[in-house]
Amino acid sequence: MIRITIDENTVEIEEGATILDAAKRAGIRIPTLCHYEGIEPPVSCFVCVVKIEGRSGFVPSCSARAEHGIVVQSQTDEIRTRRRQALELLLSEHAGDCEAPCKRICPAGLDIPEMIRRMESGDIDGGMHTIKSSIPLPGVLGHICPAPCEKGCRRKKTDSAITIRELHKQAASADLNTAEPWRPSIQKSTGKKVAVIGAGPAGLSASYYLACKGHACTLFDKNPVAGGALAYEISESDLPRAVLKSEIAAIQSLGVRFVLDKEILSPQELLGTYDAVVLATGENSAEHFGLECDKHGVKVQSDTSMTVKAGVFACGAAVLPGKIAARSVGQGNKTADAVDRYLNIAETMRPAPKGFDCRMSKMSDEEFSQFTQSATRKSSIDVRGTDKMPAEIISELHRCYQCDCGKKEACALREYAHEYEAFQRRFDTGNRKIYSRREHASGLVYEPGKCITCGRCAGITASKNIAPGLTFFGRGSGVYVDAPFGHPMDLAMGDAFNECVKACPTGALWVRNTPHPNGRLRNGKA
Amino acid sequence: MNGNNSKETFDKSWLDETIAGTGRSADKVIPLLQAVQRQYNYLPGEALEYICSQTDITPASICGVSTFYSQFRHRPAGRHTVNICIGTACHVKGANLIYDALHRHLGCAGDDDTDPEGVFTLQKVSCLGCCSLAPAVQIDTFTYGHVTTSSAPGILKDFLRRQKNGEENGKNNASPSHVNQTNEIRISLDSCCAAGGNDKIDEAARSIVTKFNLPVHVKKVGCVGMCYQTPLMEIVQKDRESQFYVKIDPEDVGGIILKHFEPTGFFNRIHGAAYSFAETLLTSPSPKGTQQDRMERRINHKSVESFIGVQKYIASEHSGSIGPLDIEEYAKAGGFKALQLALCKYSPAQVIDMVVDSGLRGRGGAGFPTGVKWKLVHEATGQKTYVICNGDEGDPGAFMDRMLLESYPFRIIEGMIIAAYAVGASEGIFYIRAEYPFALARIREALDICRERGYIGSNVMGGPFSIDLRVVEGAGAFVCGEETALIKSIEGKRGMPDFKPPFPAQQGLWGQPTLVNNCETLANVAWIIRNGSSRFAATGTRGSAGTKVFSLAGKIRNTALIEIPMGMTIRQIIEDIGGGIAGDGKIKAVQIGGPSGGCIPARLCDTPVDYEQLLKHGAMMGSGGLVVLDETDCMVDIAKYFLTFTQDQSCGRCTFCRVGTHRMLNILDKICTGKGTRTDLQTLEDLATNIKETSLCGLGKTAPNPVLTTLKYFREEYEAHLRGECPAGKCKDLISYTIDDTCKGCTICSQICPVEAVAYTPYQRHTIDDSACTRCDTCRAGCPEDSIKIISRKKVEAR
Repeated sequence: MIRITIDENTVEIEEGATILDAAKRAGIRIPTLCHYEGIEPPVSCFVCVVKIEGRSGFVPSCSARAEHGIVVQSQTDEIRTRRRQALELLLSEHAGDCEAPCKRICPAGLDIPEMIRRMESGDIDGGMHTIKSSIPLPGVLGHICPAPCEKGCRRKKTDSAITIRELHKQAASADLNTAEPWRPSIQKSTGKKVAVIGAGPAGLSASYYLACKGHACTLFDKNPVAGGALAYEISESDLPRAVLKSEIAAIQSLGVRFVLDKEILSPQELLGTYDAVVLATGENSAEHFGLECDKHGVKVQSDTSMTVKAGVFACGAAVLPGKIAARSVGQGNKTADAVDRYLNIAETMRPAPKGFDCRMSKMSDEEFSQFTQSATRKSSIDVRGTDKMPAEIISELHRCYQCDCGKKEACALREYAHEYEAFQRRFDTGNRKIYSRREHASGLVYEPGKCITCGRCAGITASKNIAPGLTFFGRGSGVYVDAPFGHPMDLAMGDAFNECVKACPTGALWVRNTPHPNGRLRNGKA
Repeated sequence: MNGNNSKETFDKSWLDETIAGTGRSADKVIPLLQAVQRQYNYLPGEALEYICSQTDITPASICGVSTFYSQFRHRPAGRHTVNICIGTACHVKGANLIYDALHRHLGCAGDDDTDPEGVFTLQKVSCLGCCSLAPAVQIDTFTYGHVTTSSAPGILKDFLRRQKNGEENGKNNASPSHVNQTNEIRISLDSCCAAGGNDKIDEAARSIVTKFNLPVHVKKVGCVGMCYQTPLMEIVQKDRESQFYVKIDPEDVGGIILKHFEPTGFFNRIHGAAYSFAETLLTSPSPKGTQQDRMERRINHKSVESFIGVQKYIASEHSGSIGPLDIEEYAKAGGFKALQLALCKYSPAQVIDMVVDSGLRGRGGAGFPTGVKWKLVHEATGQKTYVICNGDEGDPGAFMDRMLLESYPFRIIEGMIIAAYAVGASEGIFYIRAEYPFALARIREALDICRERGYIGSNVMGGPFSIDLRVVEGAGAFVCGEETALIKSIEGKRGMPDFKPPFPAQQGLWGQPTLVNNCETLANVAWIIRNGSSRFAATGTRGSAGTKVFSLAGKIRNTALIEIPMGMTIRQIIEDIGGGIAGDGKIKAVQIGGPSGGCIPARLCDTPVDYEQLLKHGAMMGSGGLVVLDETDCMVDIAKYFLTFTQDQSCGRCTFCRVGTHRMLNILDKICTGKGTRTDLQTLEDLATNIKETSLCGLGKTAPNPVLTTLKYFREEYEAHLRGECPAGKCKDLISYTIDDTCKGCTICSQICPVEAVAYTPYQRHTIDDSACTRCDTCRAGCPEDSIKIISRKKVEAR
């Protein structure tokens, strides 16, 4: 046994162990993108660098041996800087988007490709789950939203945009027609009380998400009917009242107390009774409250939605006038998050973590044409209507190119980029890799532009003696991973298929839920 | 690479035979690929699949390896390969313009490297090691030196003519001769001397000697070091001072030799006299062949004293006087005496102590104490111990290892055997890069001779010690000069360096203790054992004992290969040995250590050459390339040149080197095109520092040095580029060509311009259409009046 010190912790470990092993033993988390148990150390990513005191430079902890008596630093600022730079270098050539353009544009942040994937597989409940994670009023917005998302749709360049608004409208109506419409899961009661003033789209949305988080929520409105501008400014022909009513009823059913026909003039006073107050009073309402305002409306901290008065939040048109209900809905959601954090974390109000979203610069014409070919899922899918969804909706779902990353939730590169606050465009030399997707019969998708050549997949097939396996081609900045002699990659990975896909730390290797229709399932393995 | 697409077939029986002859184990992948490539000029996909089916080599391995090494091609090539050297010396003399000119002349489409008829394939190579002939171009085995943009098309024609005539070049087999005569005509036939014209001199000398039965032996010797004087021969006569004849033509040879040696026999004497007379008559009208000219070209030892006198030959002992493959001559000059001493008189530990005491440090670049390394290997435990001679000299602008291997094969072998004895190794490998075919052939031949004589094999010199030595040919990867990558390459893998420790001394080839030493390091060993460690330690400086071989190239009068005692200043090297700067330029900087080294500015030229002093200034000994730069060299361009090289040679393993050097290059590109910003400069410096501190291996750790040193010493030049100006007039996007009023209207420029950017206006001052001009420099080089000038592009735009 030898003894080393990491960040002032003394660790005992077997001789021959690496610094990374020792850190694990001590419960110290060191990030790595290439290290993988059971294969020859790739020593590629250099995200795991640490500093050994008294020695020059930085060493990869996955390979540097723990030598008796060494003192290791693993979390200092200069180490964080090196790690961030390694991530920024990897991102500088990363060809791919974390999120789809439609999602980025949607003011409510609806994960549209995910909604489509779920609906496509016949999972209406799943689709509603995705929708209602961002939009508690999908039927309402299905009628009135100007659908900026559709302007960002890549399909537009080929023929016409996916009718996204129509899809969530149809999903919502299909859901309402079922015997048991979808209900969100409600967290355990927190015992905290929140007052929301204004039952327009922002207030309804905030109430919905606050209720989901287990807070006792009271929604005040000066008018006798809930809905704000939705109920009073939009005509019946544009928005059937039945739709609005049923979605408001769904919010009510979560336990939100509606206090209508009651105007609140001093939200601060409510703070005696409520733990937090959310102002969602709409346009030109700000001056009533005696809170600091700017030229648009109530002044709030952009990252927390909190006004100058602690515990008082504001969202929607009260902060920034506008006619897009989806934006108010999105802000209601964001504000509910902020209130939740405020109520849970007593000490300081931390800004909401901003998710990392790798953005690929514009696709070239060649890239686009390859992309549309690989993403077109038309030919052999059997488009038949069901009792839940008509055939035309299903074929519309199939038109989606699925522009988001197949591994956006499980991508370690994204996770670390977020953790280390990497700036994607630090080395913006316009020199990213070419974006392409290669589809396989098994549903495997290989996106070489997202590969960081960590070597895990090739290492796994080599360690398991799988023929033909995967290998590196080329060298230097031109190095890439592929199967030898043009073999299909899924077959080349043989029995290590699932392990390789799972081990891939980015979206370079992933498997479609529904196999690509241009091929067949491979021996039942996927 | 897609094997399914290639339609070509291959000869199965030939491949079966080749496989049977080479072996079927997984480590044979590189030799097999080399055989296929030699046969087909590229690697047909089906042949590779067939190899996998017949051997232990896996498809993953053959694809990975064949795309890693730049020697291998996956698409069919033209019948002849044109290698355009872009080594440092060639780069500063416009190698890229030569490439462009040939590309244009052959009509290769776009990025294609082969002409439409499939006759020639163009290829940039990192260094042919013929820096004295810069810019150099090699077509198959013929090497052309001092190529210009206008002469470039001509060499293709000349090559085809030679082909048609069935001439063969490059077959300079230096067969040993055992004739023992005091009279000698010494002609060096190392690869660059042969290419520089010595092959023709040798041919002429032999025919004269045979024809007149002269009492003299024409002897092929190793490198003399005076590259700038080739073609060159030395005449040694009994009891007389020897004479050097330099820059001679083959037709001069007869006359020169007959002046020194009398034909034997009456008829021959008459004939010889008549020949001399006729030669004089025939050649005197030509300005090249006049007697006076010949006299000028004869130099004696006194006049070369300044060149040779300050040098000290240890690694290159008996420079230019012994036949490389003449083992008896080598033995007579003290060869194998050290081996005998080591084997009979000293224990391995004593030999190691001697090397430790001598202060010898690794000549490959990093300068690790050689004796200490030997000790580590000696003490390591394993089933078997290996020694490896690192002959993968890939630095552009460096060719001393090639010279040592070609000129002193026995000395390196002797050093290798002594090293093997000291560390207890039973197998040794010469790893030599494929770009050095002569060095490979010489070492192979020398090993055969040594085996015959009992210097290698079992029971060396009759004692109990046994050693087996063999040659492994590299396949074109600079990074394989790094010892762990080199070992991977021998094992038949992609040459990716490993994290150290474990060091090869503990776990090297096949996981066993392995000693890796550079050629020059091994070339010093025998001298140390023979002359004692204290004598070696007394040479050079306190921390850097002994000598260092340098290749001296660039904008210098005497391009040469030299060996100097450590501690000599850079200025002494340039002025005393190099004869100062060529032409009337001013020295600006000296690039030392190639892509791992740095640029030392003229004001620091009094820096003594030793490991620590060079490091202090941000440069590095490297393997010993020394390229002199003058005011016409753009330092940003030089930094970009080296980074282009290292970036291309990165193995691609670690993020900092693989992506980092690429991003640095992108930023330098931006700067060289005048689009750089102050932020870019900051990002460049930050990134360079991080790459240096964080990369996995020596390549990555040193790759930023050329950028960091130029940023340190020539920052104002970077800043000029930010303003859109290239002070040296090198960066194409920042310059324009203009014709001044000294123009006589001779129309040459108009005729030679490849893109018709100069209007045909006889007897009038020509003008260049700036928008059509490609800055190929052809007009400026061809103008008889020096009327074409390079000016800042900004000035043209301002007009």
